Amino acid sequence: MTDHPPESACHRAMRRLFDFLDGELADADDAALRAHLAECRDCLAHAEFERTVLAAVAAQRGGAPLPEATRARVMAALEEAGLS
Amino acid sequence: MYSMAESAPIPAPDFRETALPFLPDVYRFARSLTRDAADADDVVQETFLRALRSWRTFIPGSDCRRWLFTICRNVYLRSRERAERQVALDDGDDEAIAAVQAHAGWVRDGTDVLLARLDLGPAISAALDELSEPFRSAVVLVDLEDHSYEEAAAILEVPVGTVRSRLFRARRLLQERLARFAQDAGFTTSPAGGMR
Repeated sequence: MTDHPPESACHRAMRRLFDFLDGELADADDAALRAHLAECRDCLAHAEFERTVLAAVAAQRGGAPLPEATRARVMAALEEAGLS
Repeated sequence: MYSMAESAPIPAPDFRETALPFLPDVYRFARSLTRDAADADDVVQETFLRALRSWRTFIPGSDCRRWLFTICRNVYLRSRERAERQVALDDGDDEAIAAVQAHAGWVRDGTDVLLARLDLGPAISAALDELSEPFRSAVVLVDLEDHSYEEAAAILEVPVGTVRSRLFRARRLLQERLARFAQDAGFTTSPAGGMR
């Protein structure tokens, strides 16, 4: 990546990398980026690294379960506000 | 001529049946935003009170979860008295390139090898704690709640391009903190790039 001029194929591909990893690219752009990664080892390494980090972030999903005390507090407030 | 059944208005959806099932989701979102159990309780309660008060404005058949998330984030922002909702940011593409360039630097100094060896869970949790608005909301909605850019934009009430900018910058900030975590975890790298 750093060995290429700013408007190289690598630069264009990496500008779209997050969109690609998030599944936000249109089919044609997605295919073009996949084709680039298949032939560029540097960009593939960057992509794999970003994918690893995003997977580690996604592993934080699930979060905190709703405490019963919070549910009871919210329900009490709603009923006091007129929820029938 | 219309019958009574044909001309009768569509009944409003029941708040208990439509909104309350999302209480756990809204709580999780509030916890991700506030990073504090007590603050999350307050935000969740206020979110549902506002939702109840404005229930007549809810469009039957629309995405109630998204509607509640929008209210929740607004409550959160107001609770913090932050005026960061319309922060102007650079183009998201620049952030994506910056993240790639940062990674290239880590490859040179071996930090990427350290990151691959570490359990990133605790580091990411800590890094999320440090993220400020509006970046945290973008990460929470897209990376943790699995919303598309378009859905996140609707919740945040900003253009899709703004979501991209915030998300990509947030990811770059997360990566910078992960790199710091790796270097603080007892590893050092040689000036030439090799580990020692």
